[in-house]
Amino acid sequence: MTDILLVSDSPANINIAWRHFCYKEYNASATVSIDAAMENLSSDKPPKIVVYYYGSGASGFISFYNTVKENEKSAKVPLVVLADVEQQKALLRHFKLENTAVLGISIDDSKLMDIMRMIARKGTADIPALQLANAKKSVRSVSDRLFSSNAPRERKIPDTMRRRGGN
Amino acid sequence: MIISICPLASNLKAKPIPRFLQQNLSQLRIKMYKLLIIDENTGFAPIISEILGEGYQVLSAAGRFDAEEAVLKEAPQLALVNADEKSCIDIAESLRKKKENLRFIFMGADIGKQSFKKFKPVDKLELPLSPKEFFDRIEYAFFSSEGMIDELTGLLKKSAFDIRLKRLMKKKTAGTFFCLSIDAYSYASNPANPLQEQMAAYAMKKELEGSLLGLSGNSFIGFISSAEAKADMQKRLDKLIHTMCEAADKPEVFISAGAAESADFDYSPEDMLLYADKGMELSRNAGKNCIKYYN
Repeated sequence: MTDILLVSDSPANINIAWRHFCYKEYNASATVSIDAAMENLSSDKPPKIVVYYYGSGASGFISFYNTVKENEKSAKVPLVVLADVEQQKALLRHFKLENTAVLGISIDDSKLMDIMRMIARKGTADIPALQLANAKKSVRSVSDRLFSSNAPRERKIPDTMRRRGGN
Repeated sequence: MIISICPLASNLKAKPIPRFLQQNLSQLRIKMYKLLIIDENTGFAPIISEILGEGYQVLSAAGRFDAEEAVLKEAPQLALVNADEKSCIDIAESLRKKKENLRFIFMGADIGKQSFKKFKPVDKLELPLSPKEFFDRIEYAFFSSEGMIDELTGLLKKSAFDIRLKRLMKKKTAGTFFCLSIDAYSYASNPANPLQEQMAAYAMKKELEGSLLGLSGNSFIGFISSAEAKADMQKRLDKLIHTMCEAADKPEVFISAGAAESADFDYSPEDMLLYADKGMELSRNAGKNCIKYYN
């Protein structure tokens, strides 16, 4: 069982994010207060992983990140950010975040479980490369999709069929 | 080294407040700095807005036309452009037509000399950066574009120093304030060599890396946030004075320095700088090249 602390900026966002963690696999608690989170992180038995839900319209991640990293005790606890597509792309491409894995909010629960298990064992070191690849895939534009090699192509009509449809 | 302790009230009454301390932090005009971010990723601007916090307004544009409209409507002081070099040049050219004094920060892997020559960007950001690095670089670019950085030494002028100091004080950061006169230093050093002051500033930056440093009139001012004991702080400052003397070519240079500790927070930053200035006076009377603490 992995101890998780779920943090976000509002109870509504906690409610949205909670569905990912209502499994036996996790022992999860949640808060919207940075102070309460820091108290939890500085306690004798801190959570193994902190998850910040940074969905569309959510805020406060940067303040939370800075506060966590400024404190010696909490700086080492792995941080997972569940971000929406645009924020995920920005965080992965533009930012250097220590001991932090950036995942998409639409991540599959079983996949998230695997990743959390991995982070609980090894930390976030192996996560960024994997997620960057996934993020690039998920943020492909319509034109990318249309012109990529995987795009559905115009079906070739066999010559035999053409002959049938003709004269 | 002897640390002198003086009664506070008598000294405060004796002298007028130095000119460089007269600007009260609480009376600082609150100015809203506007940053325009031109990036096709719309998730970037809200994050930067969160990083910069109060005092900054972040505008976002996905392309050239949005950016032109934002420049006309909002008149930002600074534009951060994330694109390849050719697009950077196109965007910068069209925005300069709308606002002549608009300054740029370019962000992108392949920004070369061509765009540098043409637009003289305040900075070029190579990604990825930590949130703190983003903050420091963007704020420094604002200070620079507003003339709040001393061109010769690259140090923050008093107005910019105050902004950063105010932020540190909000967090109740403990540390040591210091004032370091470069008056005598300037006279003693070779007037034919204007690099002397630069070298002194360089020595200070090197010795006190990571500290808040500024220039006010003919004094270096600074705040070293640290949990170090006073004795260690004294050692660091002594070493700094020694390095500055060495940088001055002439051995007879006279540097007076004063410091004050913010052990408790009943004192405001301007009071603390005032006490550090008082320490500098004590140092002047005490002899050559020493630092005095004002308690």
